[in-house]
Amino acid sequence: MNLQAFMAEDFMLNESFVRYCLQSNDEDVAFWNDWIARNPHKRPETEKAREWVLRLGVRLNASEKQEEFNKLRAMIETDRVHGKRRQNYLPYVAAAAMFAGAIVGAWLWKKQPRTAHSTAAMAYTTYHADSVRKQVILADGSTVILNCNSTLKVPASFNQQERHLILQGEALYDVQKDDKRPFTVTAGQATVQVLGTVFKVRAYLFENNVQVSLLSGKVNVAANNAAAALLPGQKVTTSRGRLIAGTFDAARESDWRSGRLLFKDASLQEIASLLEYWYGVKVHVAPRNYQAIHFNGQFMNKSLPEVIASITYITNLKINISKNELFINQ
Amino acid sequence: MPVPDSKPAAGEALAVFWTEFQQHNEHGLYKIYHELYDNLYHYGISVVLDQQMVKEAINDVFVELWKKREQLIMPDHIPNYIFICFKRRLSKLLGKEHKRSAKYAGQLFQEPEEQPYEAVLIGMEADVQLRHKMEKVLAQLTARQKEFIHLRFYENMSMEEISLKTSASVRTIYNTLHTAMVQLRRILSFLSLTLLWYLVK
Repeated sequence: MNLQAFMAEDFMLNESFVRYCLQSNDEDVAFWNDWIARNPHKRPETEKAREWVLRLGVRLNASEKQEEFNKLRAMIETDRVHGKRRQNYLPYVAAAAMFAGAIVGAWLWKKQPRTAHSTAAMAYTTYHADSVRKQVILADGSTVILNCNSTLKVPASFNQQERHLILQGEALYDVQKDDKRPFTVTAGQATVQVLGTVFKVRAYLFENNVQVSLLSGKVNVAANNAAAALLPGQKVTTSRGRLIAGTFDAARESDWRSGRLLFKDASLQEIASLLEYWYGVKVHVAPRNYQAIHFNGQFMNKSLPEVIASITYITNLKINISKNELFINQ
Repeated sequence: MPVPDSKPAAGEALAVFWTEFQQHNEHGLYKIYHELYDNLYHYGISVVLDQQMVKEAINDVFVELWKKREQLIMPDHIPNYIFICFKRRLSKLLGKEHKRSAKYAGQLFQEPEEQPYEAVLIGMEADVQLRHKMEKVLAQLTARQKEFIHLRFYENMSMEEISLKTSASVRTIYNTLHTAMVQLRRILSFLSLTLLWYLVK
């Protein structure tokens, strides 16, 4: 059998090739993937053959099927959330309701189809990062670095007419420019409208506010009745329904982005605030007289337990994790 | 109704998956989904010729199963049971679609009619030009060719199985199919040529 001489019709009549098209046998799939990769000049013929096998078989191709399966999974996960953890879901619904009420008449309202929040938001894929941050690549090619203890919800309708995300916790967004599909992030009471850009939203429940930092590009932030347009280097924080302008430490953000957590001669208070900032956990320091601490260390993309293990080993501090809160003691 | 002739082993596996999902493990449900997807899709398409509607109906059926997992008892024949759910779902969707059309009002709850394979192949093509070509080529193929294509690609029978069923030799089946494939292939290359011509123009 000389595969090199094969034309589309020959591939179609090869039973192993058909199993590859239908992905019904792992060995055949592996063989043909490898063979086609090594013989790229035959790709037009194999592609033609594959298309015809699927067409004559009246079947969906692998990616169409995957898409359908993802929809099913999103619906079932949503059902799990609704059925089992209704209480956890309530604050989020309340926040969404507050938000919806607050922005009537605002420019955002006009830009988003009304159904986006009610029906489309019902089916979404949920990404959750626990002790290690996660990178999420969205359907439009935008990337999200999801920080620890954070949840990102992507509606099934994402990238159809609009790109809307729901965040709890902290995430950095690198957004692909697409004027036709507005990109918005809702976090607590704030909504960020994006125009091709890199920005970060921090909205942990324990902090009671939302912070939006813009690294490059342009974003509009709306919260309750306030709205602001940010320039690179600027940051806004929500505070009792208002937006407070400020700046952020660019070096610290760039470290955060690269995953480098740096302690330089850090005191107890510095360790506490850096851990709180980095891992999105509330840190409690038990009041007592501590010995002076000077902690040095650098961690590249390490999980919270790993970092805590080194800190406690070197400083003799006791650090306990309980329900996303840290308790430091000596 | 083309209920899949699931091999005995597949039937047992389905029962295991069914138990899994009734114990709140959604992966059991997902396995049944992957196992039956192509068959459900085939049947759906042959009834409504609307990809979107078929895809939606399949997912609806499985979401329903998941929601009712606590009330369900394991059916004797799992594929049969799911097919019936699917058929109901389709006629419901069809009813919605034709709510205002008096023509369909009478047949809301009737057994939907299946289209023959050939009609499905033609009807599936969204592109009018391609549909026309498909029609033309299928008209040129002999009944024997079409039978083999149907068995090999739609029913996914192996050449040996086709040989047993039709008492033609494997060699004959192979050669008959090969000629048919070459004929089919022509319409595609012809179409890409016309596309190119439009682009140049």
